[in-house]
Amino acid sequence: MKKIVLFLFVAVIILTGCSKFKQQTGNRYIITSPEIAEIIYLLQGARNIVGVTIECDYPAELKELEKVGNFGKVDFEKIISLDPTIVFTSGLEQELLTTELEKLQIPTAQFYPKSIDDMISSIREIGKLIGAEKRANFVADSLETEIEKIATNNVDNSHTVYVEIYNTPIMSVSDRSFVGEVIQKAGGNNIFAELPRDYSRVKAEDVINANPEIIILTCPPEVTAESIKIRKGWEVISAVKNDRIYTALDINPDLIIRATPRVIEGMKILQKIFKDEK
Amino acid sequence: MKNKIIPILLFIVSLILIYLYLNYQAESLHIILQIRLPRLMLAFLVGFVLSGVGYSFQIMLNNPLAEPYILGISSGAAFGSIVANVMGFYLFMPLFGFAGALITLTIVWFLAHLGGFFNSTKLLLSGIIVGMFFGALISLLMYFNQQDIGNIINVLMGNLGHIFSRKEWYYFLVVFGISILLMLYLFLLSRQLMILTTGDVIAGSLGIDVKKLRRKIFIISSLLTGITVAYAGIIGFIGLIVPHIVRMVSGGNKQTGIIYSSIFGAILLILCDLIAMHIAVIEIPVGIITALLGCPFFLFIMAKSI
Repeated sequence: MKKIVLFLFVAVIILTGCSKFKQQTGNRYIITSPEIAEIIYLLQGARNIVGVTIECDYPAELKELEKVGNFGKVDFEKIISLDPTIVFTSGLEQELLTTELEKLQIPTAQFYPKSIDDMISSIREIGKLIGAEKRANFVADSLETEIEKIATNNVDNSHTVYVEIYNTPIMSVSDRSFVGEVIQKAGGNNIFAELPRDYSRVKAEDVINANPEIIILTCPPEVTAESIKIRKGWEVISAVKNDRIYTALDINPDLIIRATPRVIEGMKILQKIFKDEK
Repeated sequence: MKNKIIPILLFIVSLILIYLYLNYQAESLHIILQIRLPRLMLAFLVGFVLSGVGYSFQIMLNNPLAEPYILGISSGAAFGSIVANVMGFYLFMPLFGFAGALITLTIVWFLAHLGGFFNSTKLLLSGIIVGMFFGALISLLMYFNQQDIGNIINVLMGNLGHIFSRKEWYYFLVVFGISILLMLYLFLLSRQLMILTTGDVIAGSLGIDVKKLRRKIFIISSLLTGITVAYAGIIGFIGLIVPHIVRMVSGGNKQTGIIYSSIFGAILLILCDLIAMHIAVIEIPVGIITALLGCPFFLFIMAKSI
């Protein structure tokens, strides 16, 4: 019996020792924010990414990677076992996550871009962190020119737009939010430009009063244009009368919600909508 | 009392006018008719039902802590509407909520009759436990569906700003009519309910079928509560404090108490909703306002009546 116990004891020690040797050298990134995941993938592919959250779904290759949890809740044991050199986190619910990771002495880098400028400078910073500075600067510079181009292409911000980001209760965005800035830079005139918060609950009567010409839904595809049209009292809104409600089927919400370079694609689609092009 | 009727009526009329016309802008008659009037009707119905049901529950169960949500109906209904939302059936939220209330009602009724006889402790206990169970299910849904948290909070904190689809509005009008009729029936039962406070034996000897009466009140009240939660979420405190306030002001249980309680509850909820809509730039969930205003008001009345 004693021999068996001794054998097991030695075996355990050897095995734990082995697992140390198993660790790879080089950079090992865990990314909990889908936005940062897109940016890092764009800068140097998935080769150094060892873990992501389930929301990191673009590009599709990221879905194959090890999952450490979701945006709101991660598995700390999993993170520790993946032995990351940096964990990239975001804001909102992840403020707390970042402090908790720091308590565990895991190196973190937090990026929560709240505007297009913010996003561009985040790309430069991330580039520096992961050793892809040149590519990051190239991406950032070309983003700046693209956005400049879109801005000069705008005729005016004449079309009034209502953006619905959530439907029960109905919520919209102010111009200070990322989505709000995207709408504004793409040539739309947000009816809720001046909300007290970036993302906020709004009143149905204010939407009807503002009478937007265009409605953009960034809700999941189950929220159809039809579900807006049948709302009591909404039939007088110009966008409803003229059938100008754009859903996830017309414009992928990720293209305008996420602060990533794909926003250029989103802005181009929006610009077409605002310029009444088909 | 009689010389107070005119000021009270004036207050109610002006409250309704303010509710409908505050921030009136040119050409907003459409908004008043299509958005505010439906909301006013919903606020009236919810306040009317919750306070009346609260009063009858407190008498029927002979328990001052009883309220419309105590039998778990609210959690069941809330669970139903949250399931509808999580599954993406946004238009069917009230229907699912109502189904949730019915399921809870059946379970609690069955549990309360285990062993072949009814007793109100068993009813209260099974109501609370079933409510907790559905509460846990709600937490579970909340945990796994973070994208739906906005709606779940909306249901749990109460919200009278339900956006009706046009078809749904006609259903609501029917539901509204039925609810008012059920409430009137509950008022008719209040004489028998008062006799019940003397105890089951005396009430029985006075020719009241106690069992049947309890069952009637239980089923009607639960259905009505389920309807309110399905449309407006869980609006706390109204159903608990309004009956107490009415009792303190009028001096004990009265046969007319349930009517006063309903009317006062409706007025109070309309007032709270008016505040919830306009006090901040962003609308505040009305359940927060009812508790914030209701608690101090209740304590004030209690201190005064001692």
